[in-house]
Amino acid sequence: MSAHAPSGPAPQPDFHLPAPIRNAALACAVLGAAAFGYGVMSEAWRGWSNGLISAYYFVSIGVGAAFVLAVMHVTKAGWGIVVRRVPEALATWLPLGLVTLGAVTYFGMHHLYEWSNAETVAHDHLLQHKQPLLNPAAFFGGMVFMIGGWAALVFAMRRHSIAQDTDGDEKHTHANVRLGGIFLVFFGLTITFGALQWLMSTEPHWFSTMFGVYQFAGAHVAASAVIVLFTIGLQRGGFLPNVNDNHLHDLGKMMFAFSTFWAYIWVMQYLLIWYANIPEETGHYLARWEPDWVKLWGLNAVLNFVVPFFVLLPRPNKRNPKVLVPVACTIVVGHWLDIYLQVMPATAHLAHHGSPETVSHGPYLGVPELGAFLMVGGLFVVVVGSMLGRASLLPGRDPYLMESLAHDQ
Amino acid sequence: MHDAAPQAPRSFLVGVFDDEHAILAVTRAIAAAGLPIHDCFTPYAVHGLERAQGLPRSKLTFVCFGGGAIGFLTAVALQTYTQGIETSFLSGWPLNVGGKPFIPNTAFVPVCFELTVLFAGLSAAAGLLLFCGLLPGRQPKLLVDGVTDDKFAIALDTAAPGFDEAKARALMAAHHAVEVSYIAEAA
Amino acid sequence: MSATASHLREPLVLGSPSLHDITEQVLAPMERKPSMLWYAVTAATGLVALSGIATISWQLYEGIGTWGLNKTIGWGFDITNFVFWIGIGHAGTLISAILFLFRQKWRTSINRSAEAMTLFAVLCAAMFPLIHMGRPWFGAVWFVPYPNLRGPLWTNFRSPLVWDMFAISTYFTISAVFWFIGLIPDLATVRDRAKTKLRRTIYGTLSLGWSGSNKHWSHYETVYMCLAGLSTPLVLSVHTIVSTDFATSVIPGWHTTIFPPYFVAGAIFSGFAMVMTLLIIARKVLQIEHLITIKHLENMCLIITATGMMVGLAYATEFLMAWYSGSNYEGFTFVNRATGPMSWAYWIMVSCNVISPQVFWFKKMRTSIPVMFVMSIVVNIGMWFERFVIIVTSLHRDYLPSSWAMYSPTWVEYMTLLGSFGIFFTLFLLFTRVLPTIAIAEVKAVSGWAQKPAHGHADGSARAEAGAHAHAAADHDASALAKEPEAVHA
Repeated sequence: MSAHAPSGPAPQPDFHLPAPIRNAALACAVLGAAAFGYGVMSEAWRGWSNGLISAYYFVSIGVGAAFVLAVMHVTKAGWGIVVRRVPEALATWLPLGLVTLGAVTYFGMHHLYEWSNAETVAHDHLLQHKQPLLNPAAFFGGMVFMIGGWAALVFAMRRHSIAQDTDGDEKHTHANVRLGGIFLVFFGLTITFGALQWLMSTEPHWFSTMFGVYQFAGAHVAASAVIVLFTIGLQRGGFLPNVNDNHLHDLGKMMFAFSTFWAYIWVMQYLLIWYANIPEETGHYLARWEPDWVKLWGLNAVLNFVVPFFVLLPRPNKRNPKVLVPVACTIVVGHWLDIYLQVMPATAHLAHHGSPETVSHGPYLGVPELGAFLMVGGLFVVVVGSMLGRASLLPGRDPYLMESLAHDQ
Repeated sequence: MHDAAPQAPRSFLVGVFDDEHAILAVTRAIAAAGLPIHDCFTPYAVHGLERAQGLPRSKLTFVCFGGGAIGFLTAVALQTYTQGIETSFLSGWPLNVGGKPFIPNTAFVPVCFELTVLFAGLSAAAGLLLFCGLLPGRQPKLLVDGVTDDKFAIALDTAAPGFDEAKARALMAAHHAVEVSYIAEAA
Repeated sequence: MSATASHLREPLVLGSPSLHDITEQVLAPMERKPSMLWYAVTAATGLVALSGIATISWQLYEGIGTWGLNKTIGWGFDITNFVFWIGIGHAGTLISAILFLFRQKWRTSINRSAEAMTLFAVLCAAMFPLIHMGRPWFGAVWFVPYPNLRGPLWTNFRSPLVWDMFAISTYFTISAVFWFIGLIPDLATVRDRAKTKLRRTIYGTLSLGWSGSNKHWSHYETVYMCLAGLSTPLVLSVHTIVSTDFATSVIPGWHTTIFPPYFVAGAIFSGFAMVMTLLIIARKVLQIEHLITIKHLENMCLIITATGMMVGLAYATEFLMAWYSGSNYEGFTFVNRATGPMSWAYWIMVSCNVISPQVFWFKKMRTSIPVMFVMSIVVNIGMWFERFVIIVTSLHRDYLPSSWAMYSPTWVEYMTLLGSFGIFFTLFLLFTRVLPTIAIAEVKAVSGWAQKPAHGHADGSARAEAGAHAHAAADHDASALAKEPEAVHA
């Protein structure tokens, strides 16, 4: 705890995803895929809904990590150099994220999106009105453009970052400031459309201008939590010898701040719709206030806000891995619930069209839910783990490295 | 100006330094040598000096949190009492506005938040003044020349157990003190 | 600390001034006699302020029938100005609190004057709802129970206007406290330099007996952190609550869920522009250009560009959702905004807020003082019109075409708006005379950061080097001594 400047980084060990972890993750993915397949076979709408939830969940974590990475570059955040390879690796999930999200929405489209059903659209003038945005070509074209664009920028930033490890050239740092700026602008423009097409259009009559911001907030807090989990995991394994409590403190603060931001957006979207009480908008909340869903609806706020806020409020807790890990796990579960609550009540309603008494048979929590999550999650761990091993975990020749090593608060 | 204090004012051995590196180093050295440090005086908050000096973490965060909790409860009580309870003294009668519930938790969020922040902020500020004895008209007890400008000083209580003038002077000199002198506390 | 700054960092303070130089340079403007220019400018803004106050007095006497409002357009200049001024204030809190939490060291040169600006802007803002009440002396009835036959009737806490009252008064109080706490060490510096007894008494009283004690600094830093942590959500909440004044209604163009974050981004956007207008003049007049450098201004340009794009994104999202919703009323309102009788206001807003800040993508533009100065004013014009567009164009086409109306402000409204600028600038000019315009203690703490040995200043680098040697020697002694007790234990 001395304020003396360190003379240089501690030696960086090589990291390779340990075989037991890789095998366990692969086993999860295979078993999960089986359970997912079983889910699709037995109750198609539920299976595909879980596919969407899980695929979108990991896309949101990937893009949230990309956002953290871009902000680190743009703001020239000196403190974060020693942990930067973690979000850099998490964001490389995006190409496979595109594949998984594309696959489940392609094969499950009619179970997920009312607007994909020509007969329904023919009788619904609102859906006809929205067709320019809600049609398969715009949906998949937009998805490839958006996630593809995010991924391209992420890999460009990563390429510069890794190239610097060998040549130490500062031009990579400058290039990443520019790329980060481009990413932020592109992300801002696209997240609204992505959130609208992939999630909000599961309830195609409902609309909220805040929805893109809401999804951004959720993605960011969940990505922060996953960054915390990976960082502490790697640190425990001795692979991040240069990361100390001060860096964890900053990650803890990031989780704390964006959990609060998420709560702000969550409350305000609800408050404004509750207050104006316009039937076009209230349907969304009414569906989630069905007796079987409402408890989860409340739990969502507890997991994503109440727990992180009160646990992370005292300073020592933000620096303590024993506290950070359970809180990050709470958020990881909470973010899944957040997306689940967006998708499930909507698709359940679609599946039981015309018989409202069957609608409130939720919540659905069982093998298909767990299976879809493990399927995508297992792949996620394998991909991110191997990407972590592709480059040194320390950007050893970054011009801001010394600031990060000396970071003290 | 004031009446004389019952006991004689304390006297301090004060070393004055030119920059923050010197004050940090000398403070660490004096603490390591086991000499009791009364206090340091600096023109700005020197990062790490509180640890060098061995100060405990300020408890004002708890004051702030407590104030916030009281503010939150005040807001809840104020709003429910005035909006939803009809019979008690001075309480309002429930009024139907836009068909909203009399005690709508959602609509109470903003005022709860504002009063939480107001109480937390004011109690933290009041706590600061109280903890440090800062009040309008107060004069500093021990004011070393130049510490509000460009000097950094460390003061050792000459009456404190363990005070060793020779050792202290040697350490201060080793760290390039620009001045070492005795200063008496203001009455 | 300077040792660990990356060589890519630029120093925050130019010319490597010593700590004493910083004290001298910041306090010089308030210790010397004001210049003729200061008198002339203050007299001019004071005159504008007085004419504004005279106009307000007239409308208080005559009633707000002197305004151009009608039954369709019940909110006009008054609420536009209110939202405008509240928004201006937000940059001050952003700089003092949010940038503090993000450890943006460059904020230290500008936070003091930005916070002062916040307080004056909130004062100007608070004036408008008060005069809009028509008989503000009944304003007290807002908060005490109103006696009537059935018993006391309390204010309605479900109303966003009541939330506003809580938000604005909390915001003003906490900002003032934050500002004053930041001032205490600097006031002590002024006290210890004071040449006259009067000065010593005034600043001695205000500085509360501050002695620079590190025990006090330790508490002080904690409270500063607490207040920054509180101010950050507070500043979000203030413009959020202002936005709920509109968004809780069912008026198309007002009711949309994106309003809270969109208003906050817009507030920061306009506030930074106003800070820029003020600082470009102040750094010149007060001769502190090496403390508020081009780098500071460039950073502000970048924040203006970023928040400007957020605002632009919100405009676009509103349009998109107005179409997507399929609601006739939403659709009409937005088409009417862009093409209706008040579309001129809309296009002023878009060109000032979304298009013009894009010039800051070019380094040449964001380091050019004339460009920045013009842009800062353009942005504020745009942001004033944004509020005008939201308020007036959404109201002037009602659900009932028979109540459609137009709005033409009267001279009273123009003069009140002008007067609020007069009050704001006069207060700011007075502030530059009586208080340190830069947080001296905070600038000193970062003045050594990222300083490089300058080639042109042999004496400066020699001094730095000599210092470095001295520290190395001293550190060596310290570590030798630190080892002693261990040796004893061993």
